[in-house]
Amino acid sequence: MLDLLVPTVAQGLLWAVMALGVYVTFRVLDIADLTVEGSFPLGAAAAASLLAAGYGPLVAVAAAAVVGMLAGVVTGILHTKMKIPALLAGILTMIALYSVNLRIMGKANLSLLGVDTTFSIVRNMLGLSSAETTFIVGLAVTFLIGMFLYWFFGTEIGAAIRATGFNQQMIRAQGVDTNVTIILGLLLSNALVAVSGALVAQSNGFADVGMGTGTIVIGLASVIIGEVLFGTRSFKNCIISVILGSIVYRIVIAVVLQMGMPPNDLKLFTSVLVAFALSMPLLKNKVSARKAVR
Amino acid sequence: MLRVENIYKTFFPGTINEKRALQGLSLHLKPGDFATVIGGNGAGKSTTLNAIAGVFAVDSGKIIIDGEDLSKKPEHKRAKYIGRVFQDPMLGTAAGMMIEENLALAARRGKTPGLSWSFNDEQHERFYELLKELDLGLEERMTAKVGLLSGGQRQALTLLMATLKKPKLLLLDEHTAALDPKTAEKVLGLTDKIVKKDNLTTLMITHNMRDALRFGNRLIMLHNGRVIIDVQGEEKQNLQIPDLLEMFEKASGDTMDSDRLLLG
Repeated sequence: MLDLLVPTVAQGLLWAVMALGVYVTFRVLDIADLTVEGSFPLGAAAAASLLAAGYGPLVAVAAAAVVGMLAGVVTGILHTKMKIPALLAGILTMIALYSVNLRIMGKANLSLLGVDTTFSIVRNMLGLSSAETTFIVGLAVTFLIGMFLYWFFGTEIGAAIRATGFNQQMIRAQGVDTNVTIILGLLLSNALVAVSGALVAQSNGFADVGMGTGTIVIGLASVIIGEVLFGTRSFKNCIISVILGSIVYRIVIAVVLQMGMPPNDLKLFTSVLVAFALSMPLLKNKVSARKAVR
Repeated sequence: MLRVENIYKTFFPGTINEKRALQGLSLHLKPGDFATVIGGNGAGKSTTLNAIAGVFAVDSGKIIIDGEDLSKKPEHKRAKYIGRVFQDPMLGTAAGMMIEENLALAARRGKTPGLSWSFNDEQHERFYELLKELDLGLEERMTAKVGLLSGGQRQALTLLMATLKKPKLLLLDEHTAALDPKTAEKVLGLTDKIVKKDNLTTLMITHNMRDALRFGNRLIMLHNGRVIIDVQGEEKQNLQIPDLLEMFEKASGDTMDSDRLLLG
């Protein structure tokens, strides 16, 4: 069981970058952005294609971030300038990205067998096992991104984006163009999701056009599990909670798989988990109301 | 200071719900004018304020502040000149952010946000002193989230935010209507104090005739989307509620039918 822990936590760290992206839209901007279902494999496809073509991992991951940003901007423009509801705008971009991802890779699945990736390079450098390498890289990346988000959302622009999520009327009255803050938030979110996709593809050793299915649900599960277990006292606390939430989610999945749940049921299990967690506030109210009556 | 020239606005034109909200409304405010705005339901009070703030574009006419034509500018660009407090205490502040963060956002009203830290020690001192003047104990709760405050506290804070960076025009849209009478009185007192202190050009909508007479140097009554009464100076100081009703009937050829206004 214990030898499962390191790879499980390592996976949690790689996916935590995606969960932070979902946090930026779902909690900070108060938008459920489905673009992530497309930008996750987009990041994977872009990075894998570049790696397979002989580019270094840094270039590949940076390119993933840039195309992720573009995906976010597309959804942002559809939503703000074209006035399409956020959910639908995300779906449109997500569907479009399926074709884009196939074009980038030229096929549905791109193997990274025998190609130098971030992980193989670090492994050779440090002489660690594959799981340990993933853990170290995941920890470093998540730490850096967590720090970046804490800094960014403390700046004037970051504060304006947060205020947009709470109250668009208020921040417009302070002279901020909410179209710009919403687009910036979506840009940042999808860049993170695409970077996560690029890392997961390298860790798995392949990019697949279908690897984005369920991204939003996994992201939400991580955000909510983190918030419930580790709190939301401050912004710093929230970031740490989301990262830990992603790790806990992976541990839960590993445990139920170990207990014999068929892997095919994984998405059903995750959806039920998220549906339950999202209805928690209502359930809590009902329980406390019933207690009050007694 | 403020020149509103012959503005028109029709909502849902050509539909069964068509509403001619503003019908050639004109209004000039001199610097330092504190005008109270009254009128029945649907007279166009809030629509006028929203037109000035740029919540929507007017169909025709001009809105000029300090010589600059703002008619075509979006809401966020006009915010540089205009401080606003809304009827709903929830609308003026970001509930999930700290009191200090809300003030810091307001202190930068109209400036493009950059990448420097959103609040600093220098501002902290200033905010502390200003909050203390509100006399609500908020100066000791600057790191509290605004969502924890009462409606009255939130309105007082919004008022402070709207005037933190001195606006060329202050728009108050029935900002005490959602408060209990005692709190409303306190917020009105604060409003008067702040407006007088900074000599702010102000438009204040109220449903309460007594308040409309009590505050400001000018009283404007709207009816069917235009100004029908505009009194100022000594004439306003001597005005009584019965005079106002009489003026209304004469000007509009109608009787006052809004119970909410009469009760005031």
